[in-house]
Amino acid sequence: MKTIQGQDQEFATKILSVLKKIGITCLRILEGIWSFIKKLWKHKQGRVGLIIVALLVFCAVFAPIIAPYNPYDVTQRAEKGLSPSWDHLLGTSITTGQDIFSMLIYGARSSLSIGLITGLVIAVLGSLLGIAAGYIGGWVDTIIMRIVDILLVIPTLPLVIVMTNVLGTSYAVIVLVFAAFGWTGLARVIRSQVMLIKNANYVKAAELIGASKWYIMWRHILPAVSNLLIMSTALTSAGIMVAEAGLSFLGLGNPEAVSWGKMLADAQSSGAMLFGHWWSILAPGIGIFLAVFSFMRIGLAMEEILNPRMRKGSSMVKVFKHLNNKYLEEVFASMDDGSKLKGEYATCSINETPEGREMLACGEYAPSEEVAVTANGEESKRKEDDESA
Amino acid sequence: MRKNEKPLIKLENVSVSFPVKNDFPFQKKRYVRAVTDVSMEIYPGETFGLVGESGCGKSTLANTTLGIQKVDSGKIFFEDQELTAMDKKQLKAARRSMQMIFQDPFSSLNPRFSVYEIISEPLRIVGGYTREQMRELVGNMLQEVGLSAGDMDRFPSDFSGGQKQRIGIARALILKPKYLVCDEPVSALDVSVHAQILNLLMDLQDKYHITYLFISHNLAVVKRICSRVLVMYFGKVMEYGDVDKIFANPVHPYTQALMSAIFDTDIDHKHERVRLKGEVPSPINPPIGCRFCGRCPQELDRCKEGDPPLLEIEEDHYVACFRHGIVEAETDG
Ligand SMILES: Nc1ncnc2c1ncn2[C@@H]1O[C@H](COP(=O)(O)OP(=O)(O)OP(=O)(O)O)[C@@H](O)[C@H]1O
Ligand code: SF4
Ligand SMILES: [Mg+2]
Repeated sequence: MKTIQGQDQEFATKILSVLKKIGITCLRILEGIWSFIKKLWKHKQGRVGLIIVALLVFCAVFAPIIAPYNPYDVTQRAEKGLSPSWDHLLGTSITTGQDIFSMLIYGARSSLSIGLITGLVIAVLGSLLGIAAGYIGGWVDTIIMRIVDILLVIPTLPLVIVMTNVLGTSYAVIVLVFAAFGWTGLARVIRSQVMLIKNANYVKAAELIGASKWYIMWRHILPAVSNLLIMSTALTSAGIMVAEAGLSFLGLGNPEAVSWGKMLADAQSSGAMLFGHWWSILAPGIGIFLAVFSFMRIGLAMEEILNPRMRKGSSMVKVFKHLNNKYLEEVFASMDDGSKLKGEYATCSINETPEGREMLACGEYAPSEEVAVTANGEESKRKEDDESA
Repeated sequence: MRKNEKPLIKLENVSVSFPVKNDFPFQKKRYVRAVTDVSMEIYPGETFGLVGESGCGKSTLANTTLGIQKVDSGKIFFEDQELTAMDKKQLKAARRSMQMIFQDPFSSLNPRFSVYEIISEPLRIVGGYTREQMRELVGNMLQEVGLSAGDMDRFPSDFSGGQKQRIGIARALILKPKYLVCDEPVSALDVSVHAQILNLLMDLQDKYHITYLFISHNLAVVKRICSRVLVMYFGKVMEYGDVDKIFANPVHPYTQALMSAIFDTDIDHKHERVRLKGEVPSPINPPIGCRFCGRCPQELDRCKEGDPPLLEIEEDHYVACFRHGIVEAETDG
């Protein structure tokens, strides 16, 4: 009996400690997010982005409360093609008679959720696979990088169009396809970062004491790539929202959902411009613009915080480049020089140090005549040491 | 005298090689032979020097003594326990009394960690300390290495190279190790702080009776602080033993060349500067026979044929060279 009780107690304490660990992890993540928001808030453009995103998120979450009508409810439809009035702030749509202002607010839901969900899935996939490839190495690395190579040459957007034809038009398909093809750039960049950090002496020191692989990943690697992850997620989300609007406009979005792209498409096809209903085009346009703009601001602000030297130009081009996976590598390439200057990520390979190189050089490339074992430059330094020692 | 003492670390015929990436497929696998057939003993409380050119396998050898480098063959003993025969768990326990400080103080401290987090990391990994205990230990340790407890919440970027190295030393000593590997601990630092850091290391050694494995390019420093030394060339031991004996009487041509390069302007020094001819051989295809063949100014015909064995020419002074040892051994026999 006693032993069973003892086991129970042991079990309980184990569970408690696991729970504690999970709690601490959650707290750490929250802390990270909070510090990230604080950093963004100090940055002018970042603050603009944050405010707009907060507004949009508020609209999306409380859409049923804010919006005067429910565009999904067929009974709440009014006469088709009304002009703006107090009843219908932005009029009603020409094709269905839904309230445009309400559609605008409900549209934030589809746009943001698609963008954010895809962005998050890509962030998780990209970081997991990137860390696995970089940290575990070996055949895991080989397999993942081969997959990346293959996926990189497949153009995403045409594929999405084909897939929607095959699998039907739904948000799940869009998220799936974009996520399945969008993680490659992030994974590559994270892999290269991880390989740098993995060789850093502070990781070696921790491993020497017996730190587990998980510890190294959580405490050393993930924090080092977290800012990059956030930046990438913001830019990816912006890109996905544009792509989703484009797809909906082409009639390849989710036909049931109210989305800004579909509003645009309906306005266009019903000839809103002919009737002079400019508001029915402007409203979804502004919605798309605000969402993409704010996410882009956050991503670009993040990039400037990460790497103050990348300040030149900040445009949509970057978002599309980012979707094409090239952009991240550029950011990181420039970041690497920067941090090497500061010495933060200098790798520990001894042969990389000036001294090592000098010694190697005088050994390897010396002409076959007389070669001193140590370079003469070294010698004079040694004498100084000797005096000072 | 050494013979009666028990070594803290003992290496028996240790060899380590790294596979080289093939240039083209189906090529025969090639290896860099970083460490070949090294035997040595490190005694408790001493500072053991390890010198040699860059790339000759010093760091690799140091890693093997820590049990973090897999060996191809040979045995490693730490306090009579065989590291090479342990499983992961036992190794982890054994490593608790070993630590390391690094050449590059920049990459040895995580720039995202505060000083407190850096120094307390070993405590947290080992576990079983409360936050208050850890803060107190870290504060004391900071004072020991010449910083103040108030530096605890600052970040590595606030410190100079020498101070960073002090933080690295504090982290290495927080678990009170018996054995500390110093892999060129001052060579990345400004010359003006070399002496301070070396003095700090010596003071800490006196206080805590730590055994040092001290890797250096700098023979002057080795002469000053080490009690015994091992001269390496391309993964093999050239000369090994008591520092005073080796410096007073460098027997191996390679050691002589090293010394003459450094004490060139010594007025008292009787040696002419020995200049080496030839190129450093490739570690992928080490020459047959003595590793120093082709560059050795005193080369004999038989040097190309076989490996010179490591022989004791006087008490605690070993040399691997055909010019020495064997001749005496032959005349003895
Ligand atoms: N992980 C590794 N993989 C492949 N080769 C390696 C590895 N580590 C070391 N080597 C090779 O083994 C040899 C010895 O390297 P090591 O780092 O031990 O030299 P070292 O004497 O410490 O040099 P330095 O004075 O520059 O620190 C070198 O030729 C190096 O290229
Ligand atoms: S064995 Fe021969 S080649 Fe090697 S160091 Fe001695 S004399 Fe020179
Ligand atoms: Mg080294």
